[in-house]
Amino acid sequence: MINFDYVKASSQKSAIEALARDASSKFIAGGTNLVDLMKKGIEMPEKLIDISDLPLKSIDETNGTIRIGALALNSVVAENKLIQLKLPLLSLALKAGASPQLRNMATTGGNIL
Amino acid sequence: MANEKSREMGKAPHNARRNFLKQSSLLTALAIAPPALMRAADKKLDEAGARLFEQKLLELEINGAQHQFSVEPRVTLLDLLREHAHLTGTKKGCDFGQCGACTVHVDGKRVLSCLSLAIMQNGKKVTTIEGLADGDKLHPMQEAFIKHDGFQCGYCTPGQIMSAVACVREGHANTDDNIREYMSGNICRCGAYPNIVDAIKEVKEKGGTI
Repeated sequence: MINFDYVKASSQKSAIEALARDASSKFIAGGTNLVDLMKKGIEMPEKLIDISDLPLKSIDETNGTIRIGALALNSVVAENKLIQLKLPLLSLALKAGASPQLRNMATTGGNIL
Repeated sequence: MANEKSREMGKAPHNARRNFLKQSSLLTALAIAPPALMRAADKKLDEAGARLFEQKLLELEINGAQHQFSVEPRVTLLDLLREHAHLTGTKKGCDFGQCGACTVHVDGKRVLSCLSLAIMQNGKKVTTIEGLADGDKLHPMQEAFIKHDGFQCGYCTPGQIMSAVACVREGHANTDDNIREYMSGNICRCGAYPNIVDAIKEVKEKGGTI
């Protein structure tokens, strides 16, 4: 893997600013896609901005709408009681993908992007 | 004398041509070498430079003991464990997230260390296969794997055991099919699968803290 710079984002705002400043930078959360591609030399960002600790992990329901945080892990979403009750197909779909280990690393946002 | 002079004069242009060719090829070489040379030097400098000032400080707990490392951002958790911490129990199978041989626990969750960056584990608790046994007393899962012959070559085994322990703790070892599904992230080329399922079943049925 080519060497790169690494910073840990302390807030959403600073994360977005860091990304905007540097065209060759990328966010990293679970890294299950990105690290794989970087190992193979397919992705070669010069800087990684670690967003994995940002407070974007909640799963809740307000007025009939369920919100899933972008950093909520696949495994957490799949096992969540609210999701299993109200969106069981989502839970099944998540469990049908990857592996238990990967689901413990992969985030909702990363999965979609 | 005229002959000597003319002979000398005859030689001079010949030498001049030779010198010119030597000089020009040298100049050409110099002209094209620098970028390539500089790139090579850059790369060497990159590697050396990376060692000097791009290493990040990393603190984490491995198997109950606090550790400090200084690593490049590109070092995976797997390489940190094997090369820096000298804990070679965790294996490098495919190195890209498919085989599960590199499975470890980070903050209680089973993950693939080959796709985890070491610096992203700062402040976390890692458990490897070396951390399961209590001194000489084997972990119940390790004992079950031995009893049920859950391995042949043994290469996938540390990952299988780490995954199996997590599988039971997660509550995903309720039926044979459940076990097979939730252990599907760990490949065994020797085909010890039926015995692995038996081992996990026994640990699950025995109950207790694992």
